[in-house]
Amino acid sequence: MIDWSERKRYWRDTKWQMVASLAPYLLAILTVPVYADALNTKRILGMPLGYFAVCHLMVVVAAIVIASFVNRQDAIDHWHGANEDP
Amino acid sequence: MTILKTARIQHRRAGTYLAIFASGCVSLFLAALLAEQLGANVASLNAVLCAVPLVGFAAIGLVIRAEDVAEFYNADRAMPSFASGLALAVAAVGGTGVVCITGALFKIGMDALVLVLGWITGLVITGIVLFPFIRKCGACTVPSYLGMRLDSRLVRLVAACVMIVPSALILAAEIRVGAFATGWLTGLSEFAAVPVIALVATACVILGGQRGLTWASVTQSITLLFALTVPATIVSLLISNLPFPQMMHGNLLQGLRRTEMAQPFAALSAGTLSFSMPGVGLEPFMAPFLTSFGAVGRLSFPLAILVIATGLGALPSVLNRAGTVPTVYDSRKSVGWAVLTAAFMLLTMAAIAGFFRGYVVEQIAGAAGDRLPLWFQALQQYGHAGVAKTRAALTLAEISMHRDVAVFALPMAAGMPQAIVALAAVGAIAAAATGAAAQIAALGGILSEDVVHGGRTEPPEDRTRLITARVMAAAVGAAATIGAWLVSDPLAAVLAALSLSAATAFPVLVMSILWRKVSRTAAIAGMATGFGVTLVLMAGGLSGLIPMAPVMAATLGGPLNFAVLVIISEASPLRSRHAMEVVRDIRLPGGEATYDRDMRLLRRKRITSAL
Repeated sequence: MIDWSERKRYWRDTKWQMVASLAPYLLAILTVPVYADALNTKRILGMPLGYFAVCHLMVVVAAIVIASFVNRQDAIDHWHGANEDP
Repeated sequence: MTILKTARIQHRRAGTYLAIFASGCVSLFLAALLAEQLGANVASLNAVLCAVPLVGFAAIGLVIRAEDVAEFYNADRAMPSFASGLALAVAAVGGTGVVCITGALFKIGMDALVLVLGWITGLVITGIVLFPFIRKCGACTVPSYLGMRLDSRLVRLVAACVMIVPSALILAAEIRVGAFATGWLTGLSEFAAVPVIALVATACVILGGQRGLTWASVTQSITLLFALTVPATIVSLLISNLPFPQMMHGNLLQGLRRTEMAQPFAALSAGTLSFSMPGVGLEPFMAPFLTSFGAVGRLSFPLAILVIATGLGALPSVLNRAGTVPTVYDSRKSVGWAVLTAAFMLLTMAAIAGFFRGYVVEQIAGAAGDRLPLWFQALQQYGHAGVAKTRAALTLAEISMHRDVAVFALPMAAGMPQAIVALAAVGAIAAAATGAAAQIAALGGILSEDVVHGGRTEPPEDRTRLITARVMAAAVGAAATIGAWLVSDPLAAVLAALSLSAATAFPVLVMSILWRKVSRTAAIAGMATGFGVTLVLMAGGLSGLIPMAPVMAATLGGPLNFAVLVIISEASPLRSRHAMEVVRDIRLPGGEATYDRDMRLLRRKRITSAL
């Protein structure tokens, strides 16, 4: 079980992990669609780049973000002794 | 440790049962293919392909019974994270997502990617910001969580009242989509098919609660994934010789772009804040597939992503899943599986839309109106397609199609056997049943726990709670039948629901975790403000008084909710000691769930007082 003194530091790291996981992803998902039309003139893997970036890339990035979050948050749990199965 | 052991045992058995179910699915499909080749009656074949899965889903839900409240609301916290994630993804996307998002992509192309991005972002946001903490709290419903966190029965009741509306809208939309797919497959009228879907969805929940729902949803997910993948993969093989529709449809789009550039489309440019999705009627193609910002404005595109994402993330049907897994770590993993599953589904849906658009452009545009392919004539016969002229060559703008037929019509356009056409419809029915059952479970739980028993200081005995929950689930199922008859456009209903959820529930849920100072008065005022402002804006938008699409109403209601929450919390007196203890507790993943500990202490108190 986590020490009382560790609680604040654990919560600070958890909050930063949330921000670090979400902020770049949200920024990308709100920015990339704006340039989709311009990017469609180029091709990647045989498909229009703008469509690829908005559809495929963003969906794959979402999967990577959630996977890395699960991994890093578990590491934070272990560092601070807050993990459930020590 | 006991819980973890139980989970492992269930997991091992689950693998066997699910493998049996999956092989049964494949066998039924192969038998239908064989029967079709042997000359079986198509109508009978369709009826069997529709009835067998529906009876199977209902039977699974009825066989898996919950013996106590913990099993009914939280599946005894023993669900494997993969099963929970699979069920979460399919329930979040639902039949409306499968049928209407694919249809919107087919009709307006890149602008409909706002829906794809909104749905996937919703799962990411809820997985990072809400899911682990709701799991640690362990409350049966989302309003119960808010009641515990803010130590107030009034907050619980208000939250219940405002959360019922979006869930009810989505439930009606899901049943309507399921009825549309059933009608497509069997020829039954949508009016008659609505009670059938409502009955199956209620059967999945009424005896087993979350436990029955999860296992029924997993089998429905297997059916859906099989039904989505098979036609898309076959078309991908036909077009590119490679079985990867998610990637191969992109190559087709390059050719589609060149062909559509020659089509005489009117130049469309959406206003900065406009948001217009295709409706359910026969509408012509308005813009090329690869053109952005024809239907959704440059500013409304990112705003709509945020509204859809936050609305989805705060839905009780989504957050209820958090309580079904053994640990907080498992809850994070289950969202991970959900995002992966949803990503696969959404990319496959985009592929189906792209392929079908390709068939329409290739086979219909440029053809004479009286020499159209048989599959298109069949669609015309049933009122799902139309053309503006009959003799001269058609342009895309002169072809009208029903938005929601893309999933079902792709196998027809590719000339596949009827069994594959039926399989696509069965997949949509399975997705709609999952979505509807998840909403029935959420609504039944809220009505039972937070409205009927929410005013009491202590919850009643387990037996009373179970009976109430089952009665409420049945009542919700019956009421949903009427609601589904009234819904005309399922996609519009779901988007309005997500807007309401984003403006009402999301701010208070997030702040209750991230900010200790949130007060009960602020929570009530914030939810009321968000709900009221969004509802007024929606009514104004629908009546034409305010130039705003219903989904965009949350862009004002949500920030106002946040503002009211912060201002009143800052001005409120000190929070109760219990509320502070709860927030400290839910932020740490280790140890017993807060709700479980409270229930254990309550049981001990009752035993002591009885002695």
